[in-house]
Amino acid sequence: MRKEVGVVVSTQDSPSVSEVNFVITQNTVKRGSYVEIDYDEGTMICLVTQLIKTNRYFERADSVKEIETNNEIARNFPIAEWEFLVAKAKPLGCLAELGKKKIVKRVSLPPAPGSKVFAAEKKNLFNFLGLDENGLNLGNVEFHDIEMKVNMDSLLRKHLAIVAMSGAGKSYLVSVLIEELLERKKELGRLAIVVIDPHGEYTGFAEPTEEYANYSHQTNLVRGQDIRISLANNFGLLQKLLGKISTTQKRILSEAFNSLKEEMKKGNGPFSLEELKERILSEAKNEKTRNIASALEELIKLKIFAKTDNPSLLDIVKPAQLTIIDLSDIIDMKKKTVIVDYVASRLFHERRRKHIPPFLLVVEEAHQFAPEKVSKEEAISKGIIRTIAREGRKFGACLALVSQRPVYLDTTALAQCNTKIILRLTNPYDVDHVSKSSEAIDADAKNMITSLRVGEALIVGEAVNAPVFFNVRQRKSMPSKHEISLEEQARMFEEFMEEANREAEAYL
Amino acid sequence: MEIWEFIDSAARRINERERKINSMLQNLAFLREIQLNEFGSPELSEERFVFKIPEEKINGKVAGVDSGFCMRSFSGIDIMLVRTAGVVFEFKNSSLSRVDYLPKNIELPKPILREGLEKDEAFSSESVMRLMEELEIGIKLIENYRPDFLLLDGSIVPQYADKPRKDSKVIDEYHQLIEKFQELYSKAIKNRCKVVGCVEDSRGSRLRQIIEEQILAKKGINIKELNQILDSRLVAGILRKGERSFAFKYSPNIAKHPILVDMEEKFAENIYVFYLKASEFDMPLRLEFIAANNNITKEADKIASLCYALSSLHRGYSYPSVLIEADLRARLQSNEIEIVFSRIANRISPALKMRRSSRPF
Repeated sequence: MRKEVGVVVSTQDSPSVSEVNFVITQNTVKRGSYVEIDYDEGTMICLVTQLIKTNRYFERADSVKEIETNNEIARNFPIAEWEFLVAKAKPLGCLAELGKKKIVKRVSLPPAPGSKVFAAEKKNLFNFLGLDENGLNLGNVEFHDIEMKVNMDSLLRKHLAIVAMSGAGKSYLVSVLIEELLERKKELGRLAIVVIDPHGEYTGFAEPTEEYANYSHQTNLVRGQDIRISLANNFGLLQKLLGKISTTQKRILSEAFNSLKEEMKKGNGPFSLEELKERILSEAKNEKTRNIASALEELIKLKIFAKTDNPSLLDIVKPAQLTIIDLSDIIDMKKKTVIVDYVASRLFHERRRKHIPPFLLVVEEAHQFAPEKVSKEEAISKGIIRTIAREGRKFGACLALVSQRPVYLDTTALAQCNTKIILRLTNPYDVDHVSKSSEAIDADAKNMITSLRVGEALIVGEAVNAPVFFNVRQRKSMPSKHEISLEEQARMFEEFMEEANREAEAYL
Repeated sequence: MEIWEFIDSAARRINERERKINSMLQNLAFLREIQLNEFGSPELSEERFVFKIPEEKINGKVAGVDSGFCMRSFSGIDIMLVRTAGVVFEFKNSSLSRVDYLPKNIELPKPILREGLEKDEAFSSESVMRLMEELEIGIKLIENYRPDFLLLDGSIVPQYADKPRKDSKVIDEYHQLIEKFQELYSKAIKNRCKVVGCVEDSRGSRLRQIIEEQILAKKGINIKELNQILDSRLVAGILRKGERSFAFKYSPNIAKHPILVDMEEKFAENIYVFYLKASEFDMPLRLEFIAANNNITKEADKIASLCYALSSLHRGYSYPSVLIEADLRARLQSNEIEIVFSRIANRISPALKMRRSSRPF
C-alpha cells in the first residue's frame, strides 16, 4: 500500500524537470528522504532537499512583533490552520516500464500540479538507486527501510574516495567496508585488501577476539618499522629518493648498481645499500662519488632498503585477506611515503602481471601521500597513486582514498575516484573542493553535507544512480583504540601508571 | 508645471490641509465633554459624544464573512470569480478556543458569467453578486453555528453605487439583494445574533452633518472648513484609543434615502452607526448595527466592547481578527485568477480579448 505524503503545488519555478514543490499532508517527509510521483513518463523519484514551514500570520515581522508585544497571536488567531509544510524536491530520474523490466530514465517532463506525492516504495527505490542484493552492505538508506547494498564493481572498480572531517566516522566506515569484503562469498568474487594505516586504527582486525567478529585469521599486520625493501629490485625507487642528481652521478650510481646486480645473478646473493655505497666509493674517491655516498648514507638511516623484501607482498596479498600496513610507529614522513610508494607500486605491478588477485588499496590520510601542490621530491608516493587512479580499473587495482582534508588531496587522484562517500564535512574549502570534483553534488546536497551527523553519509557517483544519504551500519569488528572516549583513555592511563608504581614498589 | 514642482506643491497642500484640520479639531475638542441630551435633538440618541469602551471578556461565538472577487471582460461577456469565506471563532475567557469554517475547505472560486451589460451595470452587478454570496454564507453561518455576533466586511446596507438605474438589466438582482439583506436581518434577530457591519476607511459624512446641524449651529459656531473632511478623519481627532463615538441613525429620513427606501421600515429605521478607535495610529472603524430595542447605549457598548477586543491587536492597524481570518481564506491568489482567465483567453480569438489586454506595447 503506497503512502501518500503530499500534493504537488504550483509556484513560479515548480513543478519543473529540476524542481518539484509539494505541500506535505502527512508529516513523515524528512529532508534527505525520497518520494515518488506518477506522471506521464513513469514514476518520478525525487530527493527532498528542503522543507519550509510557512504561516501567513507570521509573514510580516513588524506585525508579529507588534501583536506579540501585548497579546499572543495564538490567543487571537487560528494560526495552526495556516501552518503549511512545503517540501522542495529534486527530481532524480524516472522509473519507466520497458516490457516487463523497469528502467531508469532521465526526467524530461514535469509532473502536473496537483499530482499526488508518495513515500518512495522500497522496491522502486532499491531499483532506482542501482543497489544490488549481492552488494556490500554499508548501512541503511536514510529514512527508508532499505539496506545500502552497493554493487562492489560499481563502488570500487573506478575507485572510491571517503572524505569527512576528523571524528566523523571515516575509519568506522572503512572498517565496515573491510568487513563486507572479508565476509564476501567466493562465488561473488573476492578482493585482497591492503590498508595504509598511518595511525594504527585498523590493528583491531588482527587481534583475536570473542567479543567482536573475529577477523584475525584473515588479517596480516605489518608494522612499518619491520618493512624492508629489496634494493636489488627497486632501483627506480632509489633514484626517486635521491632526487635531482647529475647525469654523471646517475652514471656512477647505475654502474655500481649494475655491477652488484651482475654479481648477484652470478650467485653472490642480494646486496644492501651499504654495499652499494662501498662499491661507489671503491671505484673512485672524488667529490661526485662522495656526494652520492653521502646521499646514500641518509637513506641508510631510514632503514628501509635491505637485501630482500619484508614482508613478501606476494605471500600475504590474497583474496579475502586483509593486510594492514601499520605506519603508526614511524615518525619520519619521508619514510612513510617511501613505504606507501613501494607498497602501491608493487601491488600495481604484481597485479598487472596477475601475480596477485584484484585488490583494494585503502590509503588513510591520503592527502599526506598524494598531496596537492607539492613537489615530486616531497610527494614520493603521489605518482603511483595517480597511476593506479588513472589505470587501475583495467587491471582490478582499486583505490580507496580516505581524507579529512580533501582540499589538500591531489585533484587528479580525487577526480579519478568515481564514487565518493562524504560524511560530515564543515570546512567550506573542503566542501567546495569535493563538490567541484563531483557533478552530482549540487547546492542543496552541499548544504546537507555540512549538517550531516556522525555516522550519516552521502554517497555519490558511479556506485549509485543518484545521491543517497545513508546511515553507516554498526561495525562488527573490534573498535579502534581511537574510538575510546577521552575519559576512558584518561582512566586507563591512570590505572596503568598505578599498576606500574605498584610493581615498582613490590620490586624494591 | 513640471512633475517635481507638482510633487512639492501637492505635498505642501496636504501638509497645509492637515494643519488646518488639526487646528479645527482643536476647536472641536469641547465635543469630548458635552452632554448631547441638552440639545434636545432626536438625532442625538445618546447622552454623550464620547464613550469609553467597557472592557469585557469575550465568551461565545463570533462569525465573520468576507469574499475575494475578480472580474474580466471578453467581447462583452463579463466573467467574475468570487470566493466567499465564513469563519466562526469561539472564545473562552477571551482566548480563541475553536475555529470553524464555511465552507470547510478553501475551495476554488465560483465563476459567474454575465452578458451584455453596460459599464455601470457591470459595476453594480459585480458588487451585487459579491454581496449576495456573502449574505448567503452569513445566513448559513447563523443557521449552522448560532453565533452571538456576525461581522460583515463592509456596510450592512448596500451602497448608492450598488443600485442600478430603474431601466437597468440588473435591477431585479438589486431587489433580490435587498431581500437577501432583510432575510439576513430577520434570521439574525430570530437567532439572537447581532449583525455588525465593519467599514474600514469610511468615506461617510453623516456624523459631520449631525455635528454641524445639531450641535454647532445650536451653539452658534460656524466652522467653514468642516465640510471638507470626512467622518473618519473628524472622529480620529476627537476619539482616543479605547473610545467610541455616540451612535446615530444611518439616515435621518429613510424615505429620502435611495437604498433604505427599498427596505422594510422595521429594519431601515433601526440601523445605527458609530465610530470606534481601536488602535493608536489607525483611523477609527465605522460600525453599523440594527438596534433591537431603545437602549442604544447598551447595544453600542456591547458591540464596541467586542470589536475593540478583536481589533486592538496592533497599534497601526485595527480590524476584527475574525474578518482578517475570513479575508485570508477568501482572498483570490493571482495564480488562481490567471489559470482561469488565461485558459479562456487561449481558446478564443485574439480579436475577442479586451483591447487593453491585447496592446502590443
